[in-house]
Amino acid sequence: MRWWTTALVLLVGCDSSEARTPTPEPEEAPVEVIAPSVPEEVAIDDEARAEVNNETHDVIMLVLHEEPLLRSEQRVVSVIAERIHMRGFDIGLRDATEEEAAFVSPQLESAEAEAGGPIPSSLTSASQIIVVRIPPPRELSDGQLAARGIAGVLVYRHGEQTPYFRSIVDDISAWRNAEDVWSGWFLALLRSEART
Amino acid sequence: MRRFAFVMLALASTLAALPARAGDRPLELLLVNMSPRGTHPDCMRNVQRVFRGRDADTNLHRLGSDRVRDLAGHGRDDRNFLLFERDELDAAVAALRTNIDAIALVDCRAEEGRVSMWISASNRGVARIELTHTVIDEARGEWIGRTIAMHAWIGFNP
Repeated sequence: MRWWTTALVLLVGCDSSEARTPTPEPEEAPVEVIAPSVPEEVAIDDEARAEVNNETHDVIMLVLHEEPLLRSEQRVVSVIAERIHMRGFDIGLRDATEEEAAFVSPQLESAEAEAGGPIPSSLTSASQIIVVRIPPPRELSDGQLAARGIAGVLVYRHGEQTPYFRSIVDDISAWRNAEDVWSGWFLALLRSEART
Repeated sequence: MRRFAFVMLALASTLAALPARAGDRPLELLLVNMSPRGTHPDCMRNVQRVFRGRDADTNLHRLGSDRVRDLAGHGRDDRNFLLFERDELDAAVAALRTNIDAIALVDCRAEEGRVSMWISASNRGVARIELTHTVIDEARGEWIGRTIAMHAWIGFNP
């Protein structure tokens, strides 16, 4: 009998109820439940948020999303930002504020759209602004979520109301987790702008 | 940098020299100059330069704008084609897809500093890309070509 046949026989022959009997704990120690306490100072007040939003960078990358990002989506945007940073650009990555979202959203919809109001002051502290839109994930039949990737991108020059680069990806399933493609694109754009 | 380019060139020529397997084939890419009446040949020339010497992996087919604008129902409409309805462009592209893997529509308007692109990749995913207020020079033309090449291959099999 081969070794794996022996193993199979042992597994099948094993009384499962016996096998699953939990080993008694040596001591019935009382379980202490520690409720996580949220210190007040963790909450980000408006002033602190404004400070982060006004940090000066070569490039600001804003993420526009309606629902909390999935881990895979967070990874895509952070990998893109990291690659841009590794190529020598000082980049700040953060979620778009409501004001910023209202400003950029119309231009993600149509080629002829005007900006949704004046440029928010938080966008005047960088020479280029990258806006990345991530739509809500798809819900699969088994209840799992499937990220749809980046669906739209805008790139603005400092102080300009209309983007000089706009990309809208219609069938987004193909572009999911395509951080290589996106970071390559952004780097090519940022470099060509830096040259001019 | 020069050494890197040399290594890449050597690698590319080695791969090009490999005998093709049965069933293997290059990507069939249709490049359409969407500038009205074939204007802006310089821009398109720079775009096509990217595909020169890539015969082993890409078969480039070219077409003028008239046919696509007709198919989209905009025969006499010289506007930026990205303003057409998506369904109209989908129908035009579907009609051109015979034996073609990927289609790139490019409207290069150097005097307006604008480039509009519609790239339907091998898996039918579509990217609409627009560059405005920018200098359309030789380097930008090559950037457009590289962008097309990068996207056309998505989902290509074999």
